[in-house]
Amino acid sequence: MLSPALVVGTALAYLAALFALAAWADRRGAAGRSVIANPWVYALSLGAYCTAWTYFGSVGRAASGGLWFLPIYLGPTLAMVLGWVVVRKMLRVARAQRITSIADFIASRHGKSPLLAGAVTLITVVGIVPYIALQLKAVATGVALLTTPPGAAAAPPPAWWQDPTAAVAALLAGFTMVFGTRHLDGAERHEGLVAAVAAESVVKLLAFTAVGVFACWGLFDGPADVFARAAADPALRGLLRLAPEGARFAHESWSGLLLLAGLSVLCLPRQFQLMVVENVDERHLKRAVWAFPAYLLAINLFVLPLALAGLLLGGGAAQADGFVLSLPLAHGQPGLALAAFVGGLSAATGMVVVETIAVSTMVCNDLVVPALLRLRRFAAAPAGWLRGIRRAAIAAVLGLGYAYFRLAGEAHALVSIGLISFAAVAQFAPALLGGLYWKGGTRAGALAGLGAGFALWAWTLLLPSLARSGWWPGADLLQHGPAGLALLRPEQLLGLQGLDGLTHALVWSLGANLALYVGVSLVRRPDAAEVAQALRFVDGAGHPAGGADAAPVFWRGRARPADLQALLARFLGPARAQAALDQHARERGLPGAAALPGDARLVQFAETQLAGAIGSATARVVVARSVEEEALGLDDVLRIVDEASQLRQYAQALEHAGAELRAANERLQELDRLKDDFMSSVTHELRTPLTSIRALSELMRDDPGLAPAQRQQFLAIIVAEAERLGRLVDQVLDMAKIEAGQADWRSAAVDLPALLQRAAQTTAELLHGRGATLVLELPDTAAGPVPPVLADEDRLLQVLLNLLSNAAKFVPAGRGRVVLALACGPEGATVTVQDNGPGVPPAQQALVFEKFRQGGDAAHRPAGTGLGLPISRQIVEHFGGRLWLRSDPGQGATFGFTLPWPTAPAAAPAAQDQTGDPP
Amino acid sequence: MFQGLTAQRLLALFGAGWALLSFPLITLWAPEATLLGLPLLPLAVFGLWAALIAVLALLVERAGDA
Amino acid sequence: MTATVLIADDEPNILITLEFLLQRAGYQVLLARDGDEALQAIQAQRPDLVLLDVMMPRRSGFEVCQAVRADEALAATRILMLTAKGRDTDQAKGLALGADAYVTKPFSTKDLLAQVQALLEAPR
Repeated sequence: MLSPALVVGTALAYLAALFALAAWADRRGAAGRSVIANPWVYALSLGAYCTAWTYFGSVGRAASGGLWFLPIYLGPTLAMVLGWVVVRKMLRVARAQRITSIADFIASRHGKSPLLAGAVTLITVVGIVPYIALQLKAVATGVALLTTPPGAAAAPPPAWWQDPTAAVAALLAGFTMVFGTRHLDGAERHEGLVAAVAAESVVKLLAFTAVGVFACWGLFDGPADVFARAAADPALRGLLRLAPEGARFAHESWSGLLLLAGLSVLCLPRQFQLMVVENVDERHLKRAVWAFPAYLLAINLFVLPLALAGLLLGGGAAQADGFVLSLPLAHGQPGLALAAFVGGLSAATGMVVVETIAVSTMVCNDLVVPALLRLRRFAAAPAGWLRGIRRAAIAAVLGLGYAYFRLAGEAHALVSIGLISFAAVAQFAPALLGGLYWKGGTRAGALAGLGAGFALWAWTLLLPSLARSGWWPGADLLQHGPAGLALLRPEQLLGLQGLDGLTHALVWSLGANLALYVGVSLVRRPDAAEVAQALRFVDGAGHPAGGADAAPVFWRGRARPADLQALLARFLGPARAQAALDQHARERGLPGAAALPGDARLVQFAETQLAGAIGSATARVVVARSVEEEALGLDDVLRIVDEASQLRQYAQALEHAGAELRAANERLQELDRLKDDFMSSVTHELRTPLTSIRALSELMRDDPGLAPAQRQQFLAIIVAEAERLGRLVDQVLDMAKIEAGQADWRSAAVDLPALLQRAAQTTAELLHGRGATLVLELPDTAAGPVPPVLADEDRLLQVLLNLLSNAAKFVPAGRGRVVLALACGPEGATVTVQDNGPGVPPAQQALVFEKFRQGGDAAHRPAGTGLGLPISRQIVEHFGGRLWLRSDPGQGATFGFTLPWPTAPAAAPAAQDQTGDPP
Repeated sequence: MFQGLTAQRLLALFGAGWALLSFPLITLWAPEATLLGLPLLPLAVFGLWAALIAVLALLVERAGDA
Repeated sequence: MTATVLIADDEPNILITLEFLLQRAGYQVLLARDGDEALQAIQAQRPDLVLLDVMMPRRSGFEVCQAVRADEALAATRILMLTAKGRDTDQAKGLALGADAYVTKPFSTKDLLAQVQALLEAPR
């Protein structure tokens, strides 16, 4: 055992560390380097789902029920599978409507109903206060376990002013007040709080795992050993099965638990607070959706081994809740036991803090403030009251929790409260989820559903638990029903038998809830306010954050901006109100808050801002009082929505068309430019030889006395230019046909070595004339004949002649050297023409393949059309190859092309391909 | 409601998960046997659970932000 | 005294043609094969008229025309631009840059001579 001072001291030290962490995180958040802007922190904070009830109680459940502790964690996993879709929609709506709590969400959706908000709040208080008490009890039990000498009777509970648990509760209240009420505007996040909760998740996991590891490997030979021994023990064997020997697997209970836990991961106020209200970035949800279930898996890994280990070592199932502490303590690991206690403390405090914030926000916004608004006195109260009310609510909630804990003691009412609380908050599910996806849900339907669900929950679940703990007079209520009416027996309502208590309660409460929600909603059409909100929630979630202009405004009337500003200042503080209004003005393109007109958009903006502080229902009431409103009819609402959506569609269509037009225009201009360039080049090239031809012809015609030598010279020029013109026309036509896909292509097996030799022979004269040597390099035929390629032989010859004549033009006179080579690679054949001319500078290497561009030194542009290379490239590419240039200036140039080997056997006969479409 | 490929896949995963981790398919692992020295039922349930989380992670982390 | 005419064109055959034509008409002929040569020759030899091709390497006909017109000392030089390009924007550009006349290729020899004569006889 440990000394009480040590235990209590550790607990207080831990809480102090928590304070420090939260303060640090808050400071960083204020400095702009937020700690919680991290998806892992968000995911870990959701671990608050695992409270002390699960930390200690899971082992207890495992010790008596085997794997039946699991559905409480499998359910949330399954729920999170759908979470990415459902919760994301919820996040967007919550952000747009500045939702502050689950009561706010439900009330806002169903026409901003204060009545609904109050109802949800009351149900929450009734369901959650005992749950908080349970956490405090776990802490107290833990302390007792660690400090009671073994074998001694449990000490009587101390007076409340000496009770360490009271100290813990007070400290938690302080923590929550400091870190949870800093900001009243729903847009600000509780940085410190969330960071602390995330840290606590880590502490819980580590501590529990440490004890699990100790139990498995420290006290036994590993989990296999534990299981083997349990299997050998007839008393424990049943824990490894789905049902005890001979009994049926109660699958409906299993499914019921899955459903309940799955719903609670959204409906528990602390989960809603952490997952929706405190969310910073909806993309964090991506991580959380799988990381949170992974956390659940990790923390549950050692539950069953731990339970079995404890039982095997002599503990009884009744003490299993404490195995996490008692096992290390009894086997010489007091430090580990203390660490485990800290883990349990984390679990308890995390839950308490967040739950308290959530509940106190609801109590403040939806119970206290509406009540105070009825008193005329509050109309003039300063804004600081809001914070004060919040803090008082926190103190009240924790006080109630502590009181319940003291009064309930060991009563059955406390230990079973966990699942009973789940079932209470599960009643929110139909209105919550139905409201998110069904526009038909009305306020009346939600109220009816909630009312029926709560009533049935109380009757079938709460009442039996109270009766069993002796708090309800008339103990035969469970046996014979009220006033002897057997049909109304709480646990076999209307004769429904064979279900365990929880599943039975779920069937009735959720069943009636859902039925009435749908049924009553359908009785009457939704009114204007409900439709407006329904549209915002069900449809509006498609546009995250944006579209302030596009969202329709459901309001009609007159308002004075000064009034609205004063209203905002009352609840948000003057500085914050001014800032918000200025921001809104900027978004609307106005210079400042003073320029804002008193129109519908301003009113809507003001109302949304207020909702962040006091909830939408109360905000609605408050604003309605300050302005002159005209009631909107249903038709008006629908018309506004219609107009807005039409406008939006038009705007989008216009945008699209505009963009397309612009793109098309640019394309056309580009083509025009290209066409112009081409045409202009072609005409220039054609007109140049024509000039000489015409002028010289005229000269000869006008001067009969021309000297014969001169005449010969002129005629030679005319002929040469005519030929040049002819070549040019041919090439231009060729180019045009190839580009238009109108060329004739023939595809046959081409013997490359033979073709190269032909080309060499044809250009031999030309090269000799320039004093250049031609070297022909063909692959060694010893390795086998060169496989043929599929191509058009004439065209390939055209390419070779083009490359060779280019080389001839550029080699230095007298010492030119041109190498024509063929190489066979795995992919295809490569032909290269290398010359030792001046080479092509890198800047021009791409240009030479452009039409009408001629390379070489501009001063000595040799005769040519400038079309040879582009045509060659088109030809090569038509047959699936590539034509490229490699050159270093001053080191000559190598033009080369590759042609792929045919994939089909080259024995395919010459295929006449008349269409000539490029491949 | 559940448009988009990701949403539909998630819906399918949900159905598969429920079917595998609840009646009737969970009774597949009921017989008393051991695998790797550990009893079949806990091993199977935790294994399926882990697999479910892994598939979920894959689906969601790959999904676009729309 | 005979007028001097500078012919600037990069096509050798056109140079031959124009040289013969103008020499036969009695003018003194200078030749230039690219824009730089043309400008140098204009500055050095001060011909009375320049037959300036537009598409030339090193410096285009437009650039030469601009340079000549920018030079006060060369104000007396007449410029006749020749080109095979098809766009009337080029014609307008040439005239805007200060050419005195513009002839498109292929031209009639008679027309060209007439233009040359007209330019050389016009008072300046």
